[in-house]
Amino acid sequence: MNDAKNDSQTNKEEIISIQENIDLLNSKLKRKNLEFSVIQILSNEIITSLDLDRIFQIAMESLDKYFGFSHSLILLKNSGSDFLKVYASHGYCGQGIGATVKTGEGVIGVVAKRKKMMRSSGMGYRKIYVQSIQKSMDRDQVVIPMPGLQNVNCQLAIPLIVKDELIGVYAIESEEFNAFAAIDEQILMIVGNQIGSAISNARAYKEIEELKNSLEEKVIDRTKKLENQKKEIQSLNQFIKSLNEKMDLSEISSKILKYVKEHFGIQHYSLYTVDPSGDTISPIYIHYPEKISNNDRLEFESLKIPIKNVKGANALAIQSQKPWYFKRIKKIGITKEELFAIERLNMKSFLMIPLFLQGKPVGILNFWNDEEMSLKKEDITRLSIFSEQLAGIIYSSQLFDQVEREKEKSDHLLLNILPHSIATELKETNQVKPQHIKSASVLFTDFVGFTQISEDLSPEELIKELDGCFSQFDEISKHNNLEKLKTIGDAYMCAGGLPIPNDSHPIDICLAALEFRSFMNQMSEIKKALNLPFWELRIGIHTGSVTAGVIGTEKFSYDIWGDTVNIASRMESSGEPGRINISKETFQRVNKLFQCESRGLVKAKGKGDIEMYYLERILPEFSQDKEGLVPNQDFFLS
Amino acid sequence: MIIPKEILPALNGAIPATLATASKDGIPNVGVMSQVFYANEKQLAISHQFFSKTSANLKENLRGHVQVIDPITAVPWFIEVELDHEETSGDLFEQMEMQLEAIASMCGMEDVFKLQAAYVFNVISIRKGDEVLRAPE
Repeated sequence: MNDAKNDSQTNKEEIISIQENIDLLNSKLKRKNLEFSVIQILSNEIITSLDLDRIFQIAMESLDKYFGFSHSLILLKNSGSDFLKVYASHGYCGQGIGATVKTGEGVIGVVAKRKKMMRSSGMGYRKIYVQSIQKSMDRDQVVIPMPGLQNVNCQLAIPLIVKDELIGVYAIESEEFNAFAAIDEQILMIVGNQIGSAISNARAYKEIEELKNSLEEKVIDRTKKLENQKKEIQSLNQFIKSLNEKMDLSEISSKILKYVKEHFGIQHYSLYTVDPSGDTISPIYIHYPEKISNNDRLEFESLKIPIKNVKGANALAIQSQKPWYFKRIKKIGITKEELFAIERLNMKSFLMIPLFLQGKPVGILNFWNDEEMSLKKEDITRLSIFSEQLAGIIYSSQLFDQVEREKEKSDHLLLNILPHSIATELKETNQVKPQHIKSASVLFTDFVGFTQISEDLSPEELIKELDGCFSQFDEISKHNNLEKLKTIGDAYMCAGGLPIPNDSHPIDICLAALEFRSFMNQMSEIKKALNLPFWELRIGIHTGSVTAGVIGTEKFSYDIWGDTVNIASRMESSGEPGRINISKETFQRVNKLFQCESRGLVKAKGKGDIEMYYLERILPEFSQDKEGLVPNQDFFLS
Repeated sequence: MIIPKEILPALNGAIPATLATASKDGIPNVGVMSQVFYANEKQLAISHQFFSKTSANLKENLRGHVQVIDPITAVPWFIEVELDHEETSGDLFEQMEMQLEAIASMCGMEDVFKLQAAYVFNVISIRKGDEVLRAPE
């Protein structure tokens, strides 16, 4: 009986122990499942997100949910800096953002320095231990403040690494001991890698966005490029000029011939240059024998002798970079083009000198006779030196063509940013004299609610919108004989009556202003129908004297200065959305053609009271349409 | 012997550990260690910074006695150890070095607290102390 009782007791114990084992395994399994869920969530959510704040939020919240990371910080390292800065925090009620940690200091700093994960406990107690030794050594007590919890007992810091480069640290804290002991180290490293890649993706995206974002920067960049190109061309021009002043290719050719005839008894020579592709050479000069048909001459003009990957005399000379002298020509080891030349030019004996410049083949010089030449070794050396000098000139003449082409390109670009007459002046004299213009009209526009809408739109959409409007404004300015001057953020500035003075500028500018407004009205109607946000435009115009010119040597642009510009800007800011605010000066010059509404004296910031008018439309008797936008024949006759 | 997992909380360094050693003449010395590391299931590691007496003793007598305290339960553990070898590089060394560097740099003591070596000890015996140290009622 007793035995049976004992047996059942033993069985019971065994069952309990097995059950305990099962429980243990189950909890391990649960843990693993949790860990993989976290990784999955991070993969799905943060790797695909391009918004840094969202990445931080999701990462920190899901890690809190699954691992109980109730207090965590994400610190990022700015490249080139020795400090890490807290960019996001979780569990500290938003506190701590902006705090910094120096690389190498504290748990976070050491993890950043070594790019290795670290867990630590009881740092508070250990600090006391270090400080007591510090005291016993009679050293000054230094306490470097660290962001995070005050009574931290357990810390875990994971380096965020992308391509072996540390970009930040993910730091987790707890007031409990052993808070992170059970979490697998590899899982934490994967988490770190994922956050790191997500941050780096988002940063790269942001950079691209920022680049796109700045229209202004684009313009500066283009101007700079243009400026550099101009400088390069100028220096090349000078270089070529100095060479060309001394020598002219046809003059040189006859000099060469005279020289070689007198000194070496050479009757003919030809000069080939390497084509831009570098695969063939073409003749630029051939001193033909007397008996040659016009047909043959024509064929020579379009002759191209291959010099790459062929068995030929020219190819050989270029490859070996040495002169080749054939006392008696044998028609072997040559290309069919060379055979053609030998036969038609009646070459019996020739010397071939390859021309090199800075190690690059630029051409080949051929001396030949219709009978055997007898050249000595020193003759060949002398001819080689002579040819070397020639190489420079050939190169520069080729360069000259290239420069001409580049110049055309740069002229085109120049015209894009400067008015035609100014561009011409700048090109010809390398400077532009400032010009005082007695009467010009200046127009400013500004989008109302731009800041509001720019917050709602993505940078891409914003640029697209602005670009759309400004392109249209450019078009309107152009056909109204106005000069677009610049855009400043969302403001647009153009003027009439310059750089070549005219009398019609106040009228031109009013017509353009009406078109601007009409365009914006159409736009907002479309937007309204689509239930999209739209911009309204304020327009201001003033007429008066200005100084115009190009300033700067690095980044030049045609601009105007003077009080007229300031007043025009004030006219814009003192107006209302959807209206065109013009000054008395402009009004007096256009009131016979346009319908305006007097506003009386209006206070303008920094300018006191100014008499202002709203420009409404073209007077009905002078307009073709109901809205008073298009002038009729009488408009121009009056 | 295999180190029981139960001891791990006592090895997190929250409460400084003590290491008792003796010279060949049997003169004892007790040093305070900032942390005792779990190296593997049979070995513990102690950082060698500047405890010169302990180092000198260990050269003469490999045996030592470590006491660690669990910071949550206040249970002490008594561990008999024997020096196996020293490490001056590798994963274990670097882990210990990072801990030391982190704490020392917060006090501006990184020049003093330099890890010289990691002493790796074989564990000979482990005894769990009484769950005591409660304040009298």
